[in-house]
Amino acid sequence: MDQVKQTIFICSGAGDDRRAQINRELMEKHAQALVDAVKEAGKDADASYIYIPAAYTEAVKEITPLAEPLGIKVVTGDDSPVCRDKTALISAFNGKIIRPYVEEDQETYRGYENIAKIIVSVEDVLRKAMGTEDKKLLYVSGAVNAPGFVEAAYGTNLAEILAMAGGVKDGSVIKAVLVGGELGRFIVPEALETTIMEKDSDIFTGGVEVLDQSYCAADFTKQILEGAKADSCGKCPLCREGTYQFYTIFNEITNGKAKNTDPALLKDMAETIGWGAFCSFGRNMVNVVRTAFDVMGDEIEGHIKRKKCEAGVCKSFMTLAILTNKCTGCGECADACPEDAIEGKAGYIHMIDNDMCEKCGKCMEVCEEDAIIVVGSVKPKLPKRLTRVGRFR
Amino acid sequence: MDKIKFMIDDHEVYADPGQTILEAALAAGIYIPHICSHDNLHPSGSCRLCAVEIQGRDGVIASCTTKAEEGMKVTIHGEKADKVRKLSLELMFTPHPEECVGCPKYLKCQLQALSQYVGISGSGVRHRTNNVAADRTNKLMLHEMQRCVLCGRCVRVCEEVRGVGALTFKKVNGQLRVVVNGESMEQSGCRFCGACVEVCPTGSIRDQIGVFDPGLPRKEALIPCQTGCPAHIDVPKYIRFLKEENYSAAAEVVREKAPLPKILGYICSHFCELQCKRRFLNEAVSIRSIKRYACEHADDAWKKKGFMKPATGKRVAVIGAGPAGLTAAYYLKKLGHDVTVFEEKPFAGGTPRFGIPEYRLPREIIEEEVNNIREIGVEILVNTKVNSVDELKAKGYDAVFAAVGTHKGTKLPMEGNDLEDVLVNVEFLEAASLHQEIRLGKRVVVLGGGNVACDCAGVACRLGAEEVHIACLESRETMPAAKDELAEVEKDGVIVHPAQTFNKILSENGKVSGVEFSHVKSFTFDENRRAVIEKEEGSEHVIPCDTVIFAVGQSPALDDSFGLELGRGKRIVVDENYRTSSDGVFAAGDAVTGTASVIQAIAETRKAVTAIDVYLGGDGDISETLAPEQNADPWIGTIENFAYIERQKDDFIDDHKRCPGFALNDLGLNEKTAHCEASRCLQCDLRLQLAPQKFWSDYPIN
Repeated sequence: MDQVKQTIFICSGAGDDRRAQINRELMEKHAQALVDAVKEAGKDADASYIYIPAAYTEAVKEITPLAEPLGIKVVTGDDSPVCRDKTALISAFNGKIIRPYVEEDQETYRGYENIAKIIVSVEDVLRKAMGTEDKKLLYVSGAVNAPGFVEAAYGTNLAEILAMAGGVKDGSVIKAVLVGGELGRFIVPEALETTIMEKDSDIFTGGVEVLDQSYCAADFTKQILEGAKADSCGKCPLCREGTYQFYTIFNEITNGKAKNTDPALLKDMAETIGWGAFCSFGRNMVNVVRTAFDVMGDEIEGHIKRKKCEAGVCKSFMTLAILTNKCTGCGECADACPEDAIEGKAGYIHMIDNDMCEKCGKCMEVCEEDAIIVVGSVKPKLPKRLTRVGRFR
Repeated sequence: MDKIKFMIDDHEVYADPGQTILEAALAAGIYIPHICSHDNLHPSGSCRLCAVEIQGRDGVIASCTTKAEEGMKVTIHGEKADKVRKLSLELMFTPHPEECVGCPKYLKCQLQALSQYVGISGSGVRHRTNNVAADRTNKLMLHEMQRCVLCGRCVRVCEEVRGVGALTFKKVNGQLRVVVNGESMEQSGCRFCGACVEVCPTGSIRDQIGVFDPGLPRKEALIPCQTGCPAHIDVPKYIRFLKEENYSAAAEVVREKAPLPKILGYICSHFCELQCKRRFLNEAVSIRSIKRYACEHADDAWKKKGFMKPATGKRVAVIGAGPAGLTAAYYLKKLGHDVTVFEEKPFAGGTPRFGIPEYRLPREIIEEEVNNIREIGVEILVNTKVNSVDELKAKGYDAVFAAVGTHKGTKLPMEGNDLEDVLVNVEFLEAASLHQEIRLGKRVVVLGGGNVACDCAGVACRLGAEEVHIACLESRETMPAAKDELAEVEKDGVIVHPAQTFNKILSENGKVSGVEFSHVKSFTFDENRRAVIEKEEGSEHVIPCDTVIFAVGQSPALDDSFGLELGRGKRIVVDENYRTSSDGVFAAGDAVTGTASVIQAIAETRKAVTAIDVYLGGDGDISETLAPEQNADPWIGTIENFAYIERQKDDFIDDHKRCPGFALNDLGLNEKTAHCEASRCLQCDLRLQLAPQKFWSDYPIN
């Protein structure tokens, strides 16, 4: 190897979980401290940079005027959790599409030959400067009383972390906690106390999302996978097409189109992609799928086998009904329906055509009698033709 | 350094230090599936098809990004590795169109071959349509990216190997795609080198249909200029030498295949330019003028290079000192034979000396090239007519080469063709070349539509004719004259009348007074290659004139007394080894082919020389290396507005200096325009530096 000609120091604000933007929070709240910390941390380097995702406009606005007088350059660009990979960050830092590469072979033509790159995250730079390296900022959301940012010390367990966010909401029954967003894992409620935030944990990266009975396991997993699909850089087919398959099949699960063989297919793909994907993003994003089945498999498979969404979230499995004993035949619901799926006339019991109904719930909002309800697989007896109010039995 | 010894399955494999497992395996003839890897590219690791397992290491390893290590035990088809490979390929196929048979890459597609090798099973993954519209707007390359599997080879070769970056990855509606880095190919910085086409494993990026001849071997098809040149001169190579300002080397490249490079620089029929791939983009590179510029700025170091074999004691007579005769004399002398050239006329040079007017080709250029040939010991006897080949044989020559050219003009059989002021192309041009006095009237009509007709018209203008016409049977589009030569005479003021049939030459008091023409409705050839002309009834009209010049073809000035079998148009009959009907007598050039071009005569003669040398007991090898080796730099980078750079025109003398007089017209390119032209070259040959695509069946161990 030739000698290192230059060393650059990059403080990276990229790589946040979509749903727990730790770096953003820190950059916005501690702009001055961060700039000072970077100045110090990069004092031995030939140049210091702060890389800020372009979408964090507030952070860019705050930091740029503070950084430049100190000779720290602010670089903005794309962002995704793939940027936790050093080479992916370098490509984004150079204004290219996020795409990790094989470092030792590809430095030369890229023009970074013999440039040593020190890349440290915003949080690490700040904590080093403040002497709080034993702590980590998390964002706790979902079924807790006080969702928001929480600073926890390494060694804290997940139960304690939830307590720091006000504890589990009254009436909530926890079915799982997703730790680490799209690159994280679902944790069973029984393991809250044994799940400890260690230093260098691969899941305690920021997001802690508490799922109670109001969450549908399939729908929530689908949302996470939709993020993973958008965030996958697309370099390797396992991750690019794998996230597409995961999202698409979970979407089919939520709308009742999935096949009995799909859970096995998903688990099998997740395992294989976990072995073979190019970078840690691809190898880790499969854990959401794997642990979703481990922790909430029955509920997910219920969508396929029993055509049922326990949480009543997946609209495909929902039926809306107008209760014959409550409807006054006022017609408000029919007026509100954007799909024209409600039939009726003044003084008659209104009826919903569930094939046309999009389950938007607007009828329920306008009904003053609370006559419209969501029903599961057991449906109340309903009229087949228009019947005068009070005449149905 | 010592080789690294390791195992792949049951095979002992030796790798160079730093070599990856995949590189070492492929070099040893062991196939490991792969698609993103390519010999000329840095490993990318993206396709995951080259997954292997290594004893003592967890999980699955990409063999393209893992270096071979001493004692390593690699298993290609471990359970996990095979699962990774299979799933990766299967997922690669999910957005890929399912039609294979309809794809132009069918049976030449690496993806298809991989699907055979790895096997695709219907595991239940969801297919989707890759909704990318095909882009066929560029005239050289087409993009049908619905077939793209994002292996990234095109993007990488453009960036890593070419230093261009005309292609890039981009997320469009959330989907990663390979896109042109700009509004269009032309605006992307693309140098149209075709490297992307060369590396694309699927049918996504291809050459436009018609750009290359699919019937030719790859090496010939990909370099159309060199293939189009009858002598196969390495055009891209000398253009690059010119770019480096190594003009001598550039001229040497030409000289390796043709001993009259300067003459060619002025008047070559430039078949290369007619084939130049750049013509699809805007206009062909001005290759001939580049050659001329190089030759005019070259030194004569070439004289000390090349072969010169010891004397064989054999004597060869060459009849005719034109391009064919001179070429033959030059190479035969270098092969060690004693060569005497017999030239009937007072100067050597042949058609370039007597047929091509001096305002197109200065006589000192011919003298210089002829002297180069004399210099190596060729004896050229001028004013020495050979009446028959037997006369030479009787003098004890071991072989005779007849290159007498076509120096007999033809008059069409028509009323008035025997009048005094009716001239014939060959005699007219020869008289002008010898500065003989020519009785030329004020108004001249040249009959014929080829390059010779243009020369006759141009000379007539320069001799002081006030009004010169060219009339021919062919339509404007099908006139045999080169477009640039036609444009030149039109600049001289010549009026061109295409699609005319010549009825008769009119006279008054025994003097030419005009030519009567009819308009031609259609002009074709029948199966016997005889002209079939349909006149437009009642379209007779007269162009008044006082001189008529026939320029309707010419033939060898030979008859049976010459001692050789003659064929159609009195052309010498030869077999495939250039042997005539008389033993030991060979022939080539115009006398065999009919009036063609200097470069064709040279190319044919080179082959004839080989035959003569073999006849005389030699090995017939006249190949030689004069130019230095050239390591063409694959890193071509970008040039601003490359696609739009127009063909540079030669400098010309001022219009008012053209006529009368015979001052050189075309002054060639200058330093700036020559280099600009050279930079326009697409360097089609760089594609051959890239490794050809291989398939699993190409490896013995698969």
